[in-house]
Amino acid sequence: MSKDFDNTLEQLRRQRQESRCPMGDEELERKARQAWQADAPRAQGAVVFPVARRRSLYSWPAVAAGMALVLVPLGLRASSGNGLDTVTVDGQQVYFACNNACSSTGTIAMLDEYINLT
Amino acid sequence: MDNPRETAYLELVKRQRDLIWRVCSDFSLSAAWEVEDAFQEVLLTLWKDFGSYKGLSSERTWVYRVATNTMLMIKRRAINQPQPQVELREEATSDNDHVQQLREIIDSLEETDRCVVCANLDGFSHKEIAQMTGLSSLAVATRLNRIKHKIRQRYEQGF
Repeated sequence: MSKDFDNTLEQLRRQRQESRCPMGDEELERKARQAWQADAPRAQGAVVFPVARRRSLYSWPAVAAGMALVLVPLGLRASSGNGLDTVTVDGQQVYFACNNACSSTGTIAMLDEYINLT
Repeated sequence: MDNPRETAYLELVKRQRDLIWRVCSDFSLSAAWEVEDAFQEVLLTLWKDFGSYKGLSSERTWVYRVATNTMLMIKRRAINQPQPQVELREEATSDNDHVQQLREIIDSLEETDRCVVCANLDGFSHKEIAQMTGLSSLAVATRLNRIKHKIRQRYEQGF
């Protein structure tokens, strides 16, 4: 067992430089596509925020890792997602869209969090 | 995929995936899914900033800077959220434990120091780190020496 600093630092450097992203091309392409799809409504004034990060806070099995959700002000069309819901935030109706199928319970939970964050 | 911006972006992500993953792993140590979430968020920021990349620094340096800034933003945002409980470790007993010990010391550094030392470990030159941080190359070199001295002291004292 060595506690030599320089040796350990070199090991850490090597480990870092050898570490590889576990995603294959297909998964990476899917994630990249989600990024530009999620960004399309943002360009029109929608609020975009990733959801999967908060799945530990909400039991929402329909949420897959890496998905992005968008809040689109009423009047704009959500260009991404096959899950689309309409809800009211502070008296203003907004579309709530996500790029994966989701439950309305999850939608409400996410909106609660969105309201708390803003 | 006909859109040239999308094609170029995807190629960039494919080229730099390991680097992005490494930056995300640096900041999200508690669970594998956190790294994936962070990765997705970095991809989103890269896409948003993609048009602003002017080639003033290398692609790798630019990606590293964007990824690091995104992770710092996520970290600040997460401060108000409940954090997972960290299990106390026993004394290091193997080389891997020593590496982990070193990792934890680096993780406990002040943000800029941490980013500078991680970039150095990832093979970036002083000039490239200067481009990422806005410091001068000389300041990066001085800072790195100081940080390494601090890390060494903590490591040898068993922090």
